[in-house]
Amino acid sequence: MAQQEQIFPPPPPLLTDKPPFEYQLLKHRGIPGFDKLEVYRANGGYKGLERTLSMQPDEVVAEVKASGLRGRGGAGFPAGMKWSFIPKVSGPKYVTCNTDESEPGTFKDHELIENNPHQLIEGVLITCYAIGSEHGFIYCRGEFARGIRVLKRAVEEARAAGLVGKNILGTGFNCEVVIHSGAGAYICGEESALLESLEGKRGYPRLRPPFPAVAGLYARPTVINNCETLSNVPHVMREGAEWYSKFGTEKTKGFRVYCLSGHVERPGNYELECGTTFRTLINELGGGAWKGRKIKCFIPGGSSTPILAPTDEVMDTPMDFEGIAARGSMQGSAGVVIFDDQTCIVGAVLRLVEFYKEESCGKCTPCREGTQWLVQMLHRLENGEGRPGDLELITDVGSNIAGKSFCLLGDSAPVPYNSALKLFREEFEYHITHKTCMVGPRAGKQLAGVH
Amino acid sequence: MAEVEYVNLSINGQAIQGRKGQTIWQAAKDAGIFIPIYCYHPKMPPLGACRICLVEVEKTPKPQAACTTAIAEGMVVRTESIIAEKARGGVMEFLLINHPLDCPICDKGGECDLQNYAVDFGQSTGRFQEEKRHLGKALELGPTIALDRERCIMCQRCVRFGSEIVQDEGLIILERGAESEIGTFPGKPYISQFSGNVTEICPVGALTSRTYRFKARPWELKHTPSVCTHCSVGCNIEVDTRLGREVVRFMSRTNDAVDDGWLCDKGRYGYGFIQSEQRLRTPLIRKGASLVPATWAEAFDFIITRLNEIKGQYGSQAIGGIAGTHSTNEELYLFQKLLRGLVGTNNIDHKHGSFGSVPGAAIPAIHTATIEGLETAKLIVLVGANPSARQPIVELRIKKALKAGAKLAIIGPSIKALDRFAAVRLPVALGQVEAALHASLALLSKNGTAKGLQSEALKNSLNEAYNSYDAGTGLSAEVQTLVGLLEGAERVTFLYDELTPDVKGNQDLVATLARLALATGQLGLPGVGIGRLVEDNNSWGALDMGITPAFGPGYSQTTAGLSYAEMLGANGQTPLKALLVLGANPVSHLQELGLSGDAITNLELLVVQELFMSETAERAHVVLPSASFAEKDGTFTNTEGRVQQIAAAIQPLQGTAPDAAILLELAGRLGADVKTRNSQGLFEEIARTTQLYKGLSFNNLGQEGMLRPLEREAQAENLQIPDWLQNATRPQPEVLIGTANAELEQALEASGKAQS
Repeated sequence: MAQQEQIFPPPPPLLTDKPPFEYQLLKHRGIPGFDKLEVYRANGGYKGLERTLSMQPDEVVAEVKASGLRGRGGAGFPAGMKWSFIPKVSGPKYVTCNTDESEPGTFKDHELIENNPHQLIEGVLITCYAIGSEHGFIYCRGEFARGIRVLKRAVEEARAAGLVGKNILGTGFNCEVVIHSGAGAYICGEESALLESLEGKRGYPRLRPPFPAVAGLYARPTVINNCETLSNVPHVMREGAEWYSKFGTEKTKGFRVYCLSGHVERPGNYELECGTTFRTLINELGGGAWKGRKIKCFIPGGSSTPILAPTDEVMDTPMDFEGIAARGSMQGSAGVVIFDDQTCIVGAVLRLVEFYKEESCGKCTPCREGTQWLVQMLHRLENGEGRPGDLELITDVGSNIAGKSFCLLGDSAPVPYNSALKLFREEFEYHITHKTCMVGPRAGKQLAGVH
Repeated sequence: MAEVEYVNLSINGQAIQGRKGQTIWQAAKDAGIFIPIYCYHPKMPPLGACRICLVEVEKTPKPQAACTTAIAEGMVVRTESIIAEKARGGVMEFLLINHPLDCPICDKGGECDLQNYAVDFGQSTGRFQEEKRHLGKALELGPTIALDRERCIMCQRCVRFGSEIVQDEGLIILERGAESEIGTFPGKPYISQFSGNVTEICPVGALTSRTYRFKARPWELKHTPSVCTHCSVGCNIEVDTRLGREVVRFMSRTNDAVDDGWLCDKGRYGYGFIQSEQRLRTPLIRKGASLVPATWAEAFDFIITRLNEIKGQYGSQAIGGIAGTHSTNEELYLFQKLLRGLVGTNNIDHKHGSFGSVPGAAIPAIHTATIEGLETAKLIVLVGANPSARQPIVELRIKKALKAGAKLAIIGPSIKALDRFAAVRLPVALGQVEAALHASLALLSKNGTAKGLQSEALKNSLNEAYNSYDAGTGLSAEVQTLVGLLEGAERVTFLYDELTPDVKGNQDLVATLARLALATGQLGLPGVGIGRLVEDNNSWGALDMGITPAFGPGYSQTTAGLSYAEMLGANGQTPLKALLVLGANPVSHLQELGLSGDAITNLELLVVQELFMSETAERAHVVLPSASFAEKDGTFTNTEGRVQQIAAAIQPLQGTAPDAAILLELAGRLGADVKTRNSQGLFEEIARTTQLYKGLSFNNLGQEGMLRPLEREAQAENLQIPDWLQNATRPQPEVLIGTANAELEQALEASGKAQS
């Protein structure tokens, strides 16, 4: 029975009895049946919407602005600011929730929609009200089959309770929430490609301008926010901006879900105050590298962010937009991926770049052709067929992709290589000179001609 | 018109003024600065996909695509800086890494943008040492087009031709990323009457015409500017001949006023006839039951002798002439001049649609709609017309106008390609089109929104008509919708087919339409108003040159001669003893006209100038082999009244002669003092003697032709709303403009299919 489905894998065992941070977004952990409306409401659910509907839309926008909530999709754009760009024109406007979570190392939305669907629906409804929209779309990654089922069930529950549809909570506010399933394309997480896909077209990024705030879905003003961003909104509206802005750092307010994965003892989602250090997340909560090994390096915010080495300086960096930027990387989607010291960095980079090659939409030349070329060269390198000059050539080809392609996917593709080369150049050179891996299970083995 | 706002910027240190809203590429182009493009096509919105146009823009962190970036005041652009060259070189390299570089066997080699820009911006040696992508060659996408996926650079021009221009999604992209390839929906081959255009806009050798593969190398081609003769649109073409001898392809020669850069497949691939084995290559003279080859001198002697004998015996009224609508203006002019001036008869006609009660002199003045003008119309009304089938390129212009916000109304049978775009359809049978116009006019009059209707007789007849409709079947919702659109639209174009007035029930369609145009304030507006979609490439020319019994060149008054049907034996008469036929096949119309053919059998002399043996030529006493449009100079007048030039691309096939030369020889032998022999001189004579073509010359026609002066200068006030428009309308047959029932719909669908 759908009702009794085993939902998202149980949270990782914590080192302490108490979570280091009182769950807000992940409140469902430890409260059975949280995906049910009844349970959600018993725990403060839809209180944010109730308060919202007692306010003027402009006041809602102002409240979210004041909270300091920033987008959780990667760019960290202030959510309230984004909403305020929506022109006050008559005719349809739309809210679109980006739940096409596909960034390698990121799986927070996955847990949120499967376990806490009403939190997102409430966030969508509040956003719709704030910008004067009567249609919210939740665009889900196609692979989230279960999450989509949960969301659809939740929307119907909400509709039956008068929270979705006509005259919501008797206030005269009408709003439909539509759950849409994507078809498995990373590019559809790019907001304009998402809109194309939602309109039933091929998922290609759009030319900007016009920006979605002016001409987005069906060429109408559209707000696009990440699933986690919109999941934060009910908390802001329930408890107020002042409460929310007490969490986090000066420029990155609130709390967020960090996704910890890779060669770590306790992978999983961790909800923490923004600005918690890497050390706390990786070592104290995550238990450090697995199998008693050492951390070689890690990705701090999804595969599109430059790899960092676990120096003390880095480990003590607060995980907020500015803190990580100061270390030469990015907060991104907060997907932290750990590589242990038995990892061949060339193989790891190859795997990452393969992802970009596989997911390149093919619209623009540099990304379509360049990612394939990068993979071809890295594949040779990893398999002991590297040639002198390859490293420079890969760097140069990467530089012909980044900044030259149509959208940010192409900009991201050379990032793993560039950052890894900076940290582990000797390992790359070893591949060329010794025709084999320097570290890892294949170290010292003859690779060329084997496969 | 809003004032144009200018923007100052600099490109490569050169100060440029561009128009606000232009992209860097457009501003650069206007200033004569070259920036390469692949995905961008001037007839489509910018895409920004290929990135070959990347340029450096000061104060932006990344190179910008010149085709998508709007210019701004004070912008500093560099196309030759290190940043720009690095970006462009990188893209060039990416485009080439998987390209097969099979230029020596590629049809595009020599006129290929990839090849050209690789020479300009590429490296002499490649850095790519991996395995190239391998895919099968010459994949047949449909009956006309073959695809080489290895050569494709995924610029998407062909895909967007389908999505933006034809709006039929004919070609699509399959797969993703580096595996992307051009294709069609599963099980749907690429079938489109505009398919050939994708081969022309393809910047590389990926899409090729199956008819042209391996036929010639571009550097062997001689390009001759000409005009397509397959319908009345008159799309501008280049006749490409290999070494000046063999016609191997037609290419578009963009004329924004006419074809907007596109050709239909009928036009593009319809060149086989020029050098067909079936062409007549020698004069033929009848000897008993058969036609026997003869010399030109024998043929001329025979014709002149017989013509003079017949004239002497029966008088000049026993002689007539029928011309076709494919001949040039000069030939048609000569033909009627020979008959009127030297033979002394007004028995001259060609097959054309009726004008009903519209006086000859008013004909050109009321037809002011132009093809380009469709883009300025807010409402386009198709009146018993099917441009998709008969004037295909007009379909694309209509779609362009619709994309820009115009609305479409269709009166008459279904048009498969356009029905789905229509704001309103009056799906009446073809014979009820005039009635539908009449009903709309009556409703306008009743609503009090009709303009220009002055006479009481007309108003009364319309009110009476309204009452009878109202009392009878009533006016359907569709008529009301149409009238609502007519009342609200600032500029309206009505396009009717020249043959629709010949359908029973539409006897006075043109006059009714003129009244409707008058009532909606559209009569005589330059660019919009009424447009006659005519049959052939020079149907208008035949009228303008006076190939009618009722009027001479320029619709000048003459004593009436015999009409087309009368010459062919209408009313059981056999009035002629001699008939000269210029590029026409009247015998093929006998059945349609319900005639026995006795009038042809009765002829003592039938002379036919033709390219091919036709039913008429088979019955001739003398057949003269003439030259096709590709073998001669001259002018044609297209469906909007645009006079355009053609030029000889090849010599006349051996044994043939251009019609003008034949006619001049006949004229000389009939005693005329022939001074002017070339087309240019003949056209000058037409322009000198015919008010309608006043001021036109080969020089000012140029490459793009000119509208007849009248069309250019037409204004409602100059038109002098004539009395004939104020006459009471004729009583209408019973009108059945109800919501079409399923049965009628089916019948219409069927008729629509039959037409297309």
